Amino acid sequence: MTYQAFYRVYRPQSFREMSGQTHVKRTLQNALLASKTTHAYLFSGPRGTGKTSTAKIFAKALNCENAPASEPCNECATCITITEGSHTDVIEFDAASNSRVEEMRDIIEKVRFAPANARFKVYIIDEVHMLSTSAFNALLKTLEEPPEHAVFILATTEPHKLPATIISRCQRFDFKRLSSIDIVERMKVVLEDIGMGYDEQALKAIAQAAAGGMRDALSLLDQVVSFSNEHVQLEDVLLVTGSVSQDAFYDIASSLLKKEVAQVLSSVENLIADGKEPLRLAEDFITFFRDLLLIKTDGTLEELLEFIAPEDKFLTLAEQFDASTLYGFIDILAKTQQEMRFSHHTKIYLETALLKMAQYKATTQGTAVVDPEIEGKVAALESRLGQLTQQLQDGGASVQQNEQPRQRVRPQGNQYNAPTGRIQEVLKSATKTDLQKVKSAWAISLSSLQKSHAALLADAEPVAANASAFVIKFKYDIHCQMVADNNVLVSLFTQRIASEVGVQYELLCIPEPAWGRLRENFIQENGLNQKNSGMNDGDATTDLTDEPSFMDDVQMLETQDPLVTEAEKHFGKEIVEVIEE
Amino acid sequence: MITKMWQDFKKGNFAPVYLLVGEESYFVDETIKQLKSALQKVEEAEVMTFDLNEQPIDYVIDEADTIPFFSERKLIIAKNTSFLKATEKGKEKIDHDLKRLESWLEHPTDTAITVFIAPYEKLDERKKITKLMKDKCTVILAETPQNHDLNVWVQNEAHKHGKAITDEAIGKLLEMVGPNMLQLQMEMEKMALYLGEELEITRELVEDLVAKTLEHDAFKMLNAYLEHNQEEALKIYHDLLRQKEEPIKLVGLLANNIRTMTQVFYLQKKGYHQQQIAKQLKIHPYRVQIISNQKSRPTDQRLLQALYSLAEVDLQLKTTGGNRERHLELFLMRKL
Repeated sequence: MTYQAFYRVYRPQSFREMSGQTHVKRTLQNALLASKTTHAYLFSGPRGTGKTSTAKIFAKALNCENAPASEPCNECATCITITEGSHTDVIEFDAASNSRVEEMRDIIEKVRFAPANARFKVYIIDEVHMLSTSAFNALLKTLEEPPEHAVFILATTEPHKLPATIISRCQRFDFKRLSSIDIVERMKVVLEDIGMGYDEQALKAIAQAAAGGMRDALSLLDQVVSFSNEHVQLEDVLLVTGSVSQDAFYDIASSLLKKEVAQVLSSVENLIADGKEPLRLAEDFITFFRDLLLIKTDGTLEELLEFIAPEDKFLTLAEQFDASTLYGFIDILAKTQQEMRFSHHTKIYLETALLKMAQYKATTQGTAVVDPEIEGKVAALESRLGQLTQQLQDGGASVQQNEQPRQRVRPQGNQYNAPTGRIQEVLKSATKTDLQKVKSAWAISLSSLQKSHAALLADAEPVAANASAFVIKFKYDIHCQMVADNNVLVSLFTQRIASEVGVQYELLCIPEPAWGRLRENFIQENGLNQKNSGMNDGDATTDLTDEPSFMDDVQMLETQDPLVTEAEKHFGKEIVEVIEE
Repeated sequence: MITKMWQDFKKGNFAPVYLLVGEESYFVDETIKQLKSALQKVEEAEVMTFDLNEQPIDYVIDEADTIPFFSERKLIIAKNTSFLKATEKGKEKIDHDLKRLESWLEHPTDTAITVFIAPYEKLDERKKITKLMKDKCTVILAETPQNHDLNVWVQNEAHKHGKAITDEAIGKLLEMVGPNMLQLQMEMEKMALYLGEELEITRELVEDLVAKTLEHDAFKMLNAYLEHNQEEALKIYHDLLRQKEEPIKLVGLLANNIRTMTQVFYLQKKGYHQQQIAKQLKIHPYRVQIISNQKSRPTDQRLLQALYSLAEVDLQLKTTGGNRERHLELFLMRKL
């Protein structure tokens, strides 16, 4: 007989033989005993966890001549033919290679016919996620109304690729990964069966490499067995799995800890001389440090270790490293890996990376843990900060220097002393008509200015005016100062207004808080003088009406908004209605 | 309402034409099952099934107008009544003679029970035929019941199998499966079978036996991560990888969850009720419930920080080479 691979010879033939998956087994067995099987099952789970095996065992148990029983007898004709794969009513369908509708239809067509020599027609559809959309639809039609004698078992590694309509018609079982213990146990059974000695460590290494898949484990074992003579040993396993012995990495890592650069480089040299690809080595280094990190994170994650075995020496090694150092190492290696892709001299890159890592340790031992890169950044930032403070001092001086000549040119422009005297003068002789005039010209003049200038005046408002000057209130000191200092702007703006209303006003600027104080003072004084002024001249009436509106500034501003006055000018007061939001 | 209809079936009160509207296939299946069993009291029911996506409506009408051979009434099922919903142009494969259907609906035969199934969330109410159908047929709404009713239903389902189920287990079950009655029924049956002689469905059993969805796993992974349970997060992550999930997709799911969390917390702070939040964010009420019932609630700052790191992971995944699975793994390993 030709040689059969382990995973085929030792495919379990009954539920009892199956490793793990207790929940699936128990449910299926209970269903068999109670004859409460449904028409569609979906087995999902990673490869090598027993989906297809379970499907076959289940098919046998369903059709076994001794049914209902929780196990197939494996002795009756039906069981034997199913095991051989020659039973006419158990149809195994590989969806991966028969993914088209036509093929699916071929199968589905025959569902209606009663089974020839069994009780159920069992369809085992493997890799069901590979079916095309129309094939799925064809299948769905049947799943919706299956004939009494049909049982579908769908098996897949990627259940999320199935349409929800299919999934919701199936009783779904999640196959879980097998634990290392389960796998090791099974391998022991196999090895004892063929009469071969073994190292416990070797089996563990295989189980780890298989990552919970029984088929992977048995294939590996197969290879190792044919490789070694009498006894399965750890070295053989490591050779077969093709990974560099973890010890080499252990040596490099501990040399890195001790900063023995020469040692590190010669070890790497040896590895490369052994024919290891530097790019691949970088990847292995990342995995190695990641495993160390994993050990540091939590001791119970042994199953997830990819590269190293959970041995004591690695545990202590992990203890000696700082988590952030390990992250730093991984970062360096990842960057190096990236660079290596574009170079022929990959070995040099790997060596530089290792040198970097050796130095990395040196910098971190001092204080807490500082990434050299970050440290560099900090240094850069510090020097920059120094420059900035320097600049700030200089700048402060220069501002002061600037201020003095400015004050000479136009002392009232300074925010700290708004031309209160002048403004008070204006207020005394302020008239509403003048203010109206200014306001009516405001919008047009503003729009004719250049953008940067208009922006400065955007938040400003004319608040008072007499025959020769008007006062503008600014929301922000800085704008006030900038406008007052800008002679060009001031003259340009007053000229614009002059061209609109025909009067060359003088422009007086004041920031809002200062304006508030000034106005209050003025109103108090004015309240005392009110009668006098009332008797004095004709303007006083307007003055009077003007004064109270100073008091409730808000209302006045609303009604006398430059925009509104502009609108009123165009459309007439009767038509314009101000709706406040 | 639907149970009353089923009781009517049992008594032998049938309407000539039914219209089943709604996405919950459990009700659709169950209604047809009830109809069948009510009809075959005396002899085997005569059932004809048509798919209106592939066969014209004339077949259904012709069949309904033919007098049944062996039974008093026959059952005619017309699936996918897609002409009742808003049409997608160019997708119509079959031209249905709706005029004929209209006139037929005025005088349906009483030797047949015709069931039109429209498994759609919404019908196009503007269409003339929709209005007429709604008027002339007995309409049965197949909608998934809301929170509390669904709990009661699960409980009843458990009793049907002769089992008891704890409230905690119901919550977990609904959380894992979602409001899909067909699937809930499947899972209940599976658990009942697993239990065999035992009587109680517990939370642990649900966790062990019920098939996990990707969304659920991603949510659990995120929670483990936020609770500084790196170990659990990594385990789930590797399980997902074994199912060949794409790391980029997982990053997206995680980010999406974090985003939803911040939104839910924010709205809660503003005094929104759970239902309102679900409506506002257009997400399922269950999700809101799970998020807001979380025991330890991470601060906004941490959430945003996590979101930011995820964005970085995403960038790395899309720009750098090497082992793709590593990037997200390192993110999960690093404590916030």
